[in-house]
Amino acid sequence: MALIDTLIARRQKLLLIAALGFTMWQGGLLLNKMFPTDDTAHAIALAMTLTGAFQWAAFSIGFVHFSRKAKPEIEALNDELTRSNRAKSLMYGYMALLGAISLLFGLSTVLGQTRFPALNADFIIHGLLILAVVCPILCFFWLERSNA
Amino acid sequence: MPKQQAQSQLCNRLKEIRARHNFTQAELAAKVSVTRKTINTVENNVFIPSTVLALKLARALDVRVEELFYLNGS
Repeated sequence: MALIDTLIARRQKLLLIAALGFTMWQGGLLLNKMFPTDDTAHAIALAMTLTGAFQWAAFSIGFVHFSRKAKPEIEALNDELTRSNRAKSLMYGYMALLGAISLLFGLSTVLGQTRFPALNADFIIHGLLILAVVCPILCFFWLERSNA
Repeated sequence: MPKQQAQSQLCNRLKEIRARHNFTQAELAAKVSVTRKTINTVENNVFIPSTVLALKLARALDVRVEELFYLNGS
């Protein structure tokens, strides 16, 4: 397998680790906020947070290693199809974020305060942050895998 | 012009000309500093290359860019 193909495969693996790691790490913290007094939820949240944080650390180390290895092939790795896929991923991430905000806004407007419970701003912002980070990464992973 | 319309209008002979030169997709990709997937998506009309890439491809294959890319019906 040529170096460029190895690097592309490694980048895809890193993207997946980053998305899963961030979701588990931040999802665990979010779960803890959802059920602050539940011991079972706390144990699951702790396991998720630790596993996710470990994955995120693995991704960070892997990314530094990848960046060093990628230097000779950086032009090809960052070619115009990749740049186009990256721009599309950011657009999909923005659309997902806008969709989530619109959904929450719509629910609060339609259902009103009586049937739509007041939500903790910290919880909602945390959830939206996870969506904003993970959605573009997964979209980029999917676009890079398609049409191969 | 919408992208889909541009994709249906723009055609190319990249696969045919590449085969004439006995280049694999990977070899051509290395010559123009892109990935093999980029060549594949251009050949299959999934991705429209920039003018710069079109010119690089034409130079690598030693043909004029109009021979490589043409508008449907022309």
